[in-house]
Amino acid sequence: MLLFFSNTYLLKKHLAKTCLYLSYGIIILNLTACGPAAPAADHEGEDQPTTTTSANKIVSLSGTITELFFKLGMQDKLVGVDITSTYPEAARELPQLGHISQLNAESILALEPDLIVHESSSTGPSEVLTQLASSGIEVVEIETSHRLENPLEVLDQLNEHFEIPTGKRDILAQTIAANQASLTEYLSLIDGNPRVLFLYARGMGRLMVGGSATSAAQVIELAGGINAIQSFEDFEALTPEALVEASPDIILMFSSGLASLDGKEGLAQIPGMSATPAFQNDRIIAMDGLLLTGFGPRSSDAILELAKRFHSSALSQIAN
Amino acid sequence: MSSRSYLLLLLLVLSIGVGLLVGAYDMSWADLWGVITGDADDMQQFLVWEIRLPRLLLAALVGAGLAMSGAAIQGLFRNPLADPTIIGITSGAMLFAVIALSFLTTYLAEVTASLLQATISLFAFIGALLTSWLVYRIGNRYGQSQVASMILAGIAVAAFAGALSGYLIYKSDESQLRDITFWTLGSVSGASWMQLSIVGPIVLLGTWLIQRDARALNAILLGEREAAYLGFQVNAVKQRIIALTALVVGACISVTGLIGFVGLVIPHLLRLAWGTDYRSLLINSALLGASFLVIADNFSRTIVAPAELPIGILTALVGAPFFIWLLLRQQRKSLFI
Amino acid sequence: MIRVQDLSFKRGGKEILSKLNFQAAAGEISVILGKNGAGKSTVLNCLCGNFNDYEGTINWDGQDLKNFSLKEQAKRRAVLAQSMELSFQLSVYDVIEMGCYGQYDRFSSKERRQLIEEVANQFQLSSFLDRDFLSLSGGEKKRVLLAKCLIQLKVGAITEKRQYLLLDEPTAALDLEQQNLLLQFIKELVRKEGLGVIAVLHDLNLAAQLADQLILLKQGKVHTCGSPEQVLQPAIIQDVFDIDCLIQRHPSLDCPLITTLPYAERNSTFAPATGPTQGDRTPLTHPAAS
Repeated sequence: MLLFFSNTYLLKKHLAKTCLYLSYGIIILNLTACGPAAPAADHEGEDQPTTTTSANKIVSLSGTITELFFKLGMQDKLVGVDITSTYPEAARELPQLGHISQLNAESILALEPDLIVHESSSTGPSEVLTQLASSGIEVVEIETSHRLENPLEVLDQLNEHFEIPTGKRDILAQTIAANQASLTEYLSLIDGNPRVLFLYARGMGRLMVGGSATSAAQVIELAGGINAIQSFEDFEALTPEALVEASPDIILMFSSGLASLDGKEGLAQIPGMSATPAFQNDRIIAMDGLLLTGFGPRSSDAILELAKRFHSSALSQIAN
Repeated sequence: MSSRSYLLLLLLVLSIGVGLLVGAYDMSWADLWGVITGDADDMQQFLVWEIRLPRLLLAALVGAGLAMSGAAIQGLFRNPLADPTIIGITSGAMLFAVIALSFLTTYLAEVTASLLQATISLFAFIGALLTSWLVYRIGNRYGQSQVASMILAGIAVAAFAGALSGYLIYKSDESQLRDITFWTLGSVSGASWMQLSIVGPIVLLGTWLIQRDARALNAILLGEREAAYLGFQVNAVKQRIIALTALVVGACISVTGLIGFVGLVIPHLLRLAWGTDYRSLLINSALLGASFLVIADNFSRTIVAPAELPIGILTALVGAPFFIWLLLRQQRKSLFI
Repeated sequence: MIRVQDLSFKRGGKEILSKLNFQAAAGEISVILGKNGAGKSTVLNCLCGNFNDYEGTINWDGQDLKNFSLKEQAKRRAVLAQSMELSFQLSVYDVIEMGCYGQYDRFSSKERRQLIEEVANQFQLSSFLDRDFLSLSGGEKKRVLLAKCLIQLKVGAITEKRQYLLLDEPTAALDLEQQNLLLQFIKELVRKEGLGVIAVLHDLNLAAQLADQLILLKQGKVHTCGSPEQVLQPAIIQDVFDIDCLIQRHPSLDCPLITTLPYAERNSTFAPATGPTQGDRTPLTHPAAS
């Protein structure tokens, strides 16, 4: 009895002590856990005397906008990018701020940006952006569209906040116009529009198909295809029956999506997939997500390329 | 308050102090002192008063609310494994938040982000209250609430709400899915004085009112009849505690999303260390829970800076192994007795 | 004085108590006896305030019990329940202190400690105060709970003169030493504090030693009520408990001593291994048995 008594007493005392030590430990860890040094310091040397009208330190929370900055040679202005900024490779070297709905206000403040740009379509909670705006940083929301001219429209909106080199904008405009022209010409040569199904995959557990109002459907139509799904607008979960009913000639995927299924062998595991003409004729097209649906500066090239791949059989017929 | 409570209060003040000092933005003691005395540049002032302090206070409030509610529910159900999940609060809040996230973003695409956020919070809060009321009603068929039937009702309602949430998640698109996932991971980023002005009074008033039932909770530990023999209106106490818990937890998770393990681990830790007396357990749980979440948040915003780690991941990551360690330790001790 | 008048109680359409009448005076020990299912616990539950849907009246020192709130009842009586669940560690001190909860703010923590230590001393619990309640033996637990009851009554005594202690099978599952110790304490309480005690017991001999008044229940009715000498008659016991017994005078205590006898030959299929005539005991020929 006495043994028990002393034991519970000791247990309590010991635990209390453990708690205390643990708390101290946590505090000390806390003090040391200041995290990676703020990258702000790296950029201080490049600071130019600025005028109030032109921003010199910019945070981009959109892959498309980041890409535009690089395209126009304005990447020196970028001090931080979000998780969708994957192109070009150099964008990944910039401080990574995570997803737009999980931003850390303080990290962004530490980068001391003059301006933050993000796309209006992001649905993520942006209390952090509201906070940042109230700190005096200019937060610019850019309207985007699913058109080939989207990069130019974005540039025009950005131009209202800081100067965009007009020469480079004109070059981009010419490229887009040229691609547009060859696309129109190319599509006029061929008849017949393949039915294309956009398949979004994040492993076998998450398979979705793009409805008629998705950005993927826009891309498919621009490239001269028909979106194989017309009965709904959004992304919906894939069902074997719907797959067979859609009977796509071509399946379009993000390369990351195809990779998540372990390539074509994985694709064959999807019930109903083997019954589609696309699978039987081995017409699976995979492209980088940002390139395919980002409507950025490379978009017109990508869509021209896609149109050619869509109609490769028609093309060979013309050649014959 | 006992000396132990003062010790925990000191811990809370210290962890908030540390929280004010650390972060992606470099700040020294001198800078912080400058901010306090008003002798600092605008950026530092803004950082401390508008970003760090609201965030730390929100973490503290939510930690206090969750831990104290957990302790109260465990006492009320006389079950060491109970937490507000058991009366359906979490599943209800989750369901309604998912409803808000998947419908409002689709049908109210024009709403501004902060209005959307406020709507999600409101929905989660309503969901928490609604499901806990439902569970209480089901478990309380014949005037006297039966603990066992309430727990079963809680499981059933949670399963039902879980199925509905699951369906909505299944139907949701990528960005909604991401938002829902982040919501279930919890976060105190984006804390504002506005949020504090809503959550603060609810949590402070709620915890104060729960504390007033500390003696009743002690008596209920001996059994509901024992408590009645001592003169406590057990059913009234039960209704009060469930309503207050739903209110406090609902308010907390509506602004932060789901933050697990605080409500379970913190009261246990204190119980093992200092015993079960609810007169001190409730207040100590609040204080330690507040410190725990503040410390967890200090990590959440520094270890992967400039990005940030959802706080719910951290609390479970630290909480679960620590909890297992405690249990094993307790088992080993009792083997030698 | 607690007067139970025409107390009837139904559950699920079944009448458990029908028109019960008895009285229990302050300063006396009344023991309720009866077979399982006779309604003992139901009577006690009604007295404790657990059941409010009874018919008839329970007159509590001149007032109807139903007029008292739980808080009022807590000042006038304490209940030592048969079993209690506790799934958390709680110190003995904390458990005893719960007795003060009714009028917690009337006392400073120093006064409370003084009161608790005094009562703990009285029940030989002083060395137990810091221990975990769950680590105690059954008898020790009962004593702690009795101490809690006494504290509750002492605190209630500030406003109430007459107080009662309700005991539900206090000696169940206790060894003989602990049984004796507990009964000793209960008797002492009645003598010193002038409490009225109403207890449900199973053991006839303990009842005989303890009680001033015995209340025998049979099928929800009071069969016999009176002093142990009056009530403990072989014929009555046979009628209430369906057993044969021998009643003698306790050699050292001034009370009846009941010896139950093995089953008589009434039931031919279960012939006893040892006949009632074995040994040096004189068999009692009961009218009902012959």
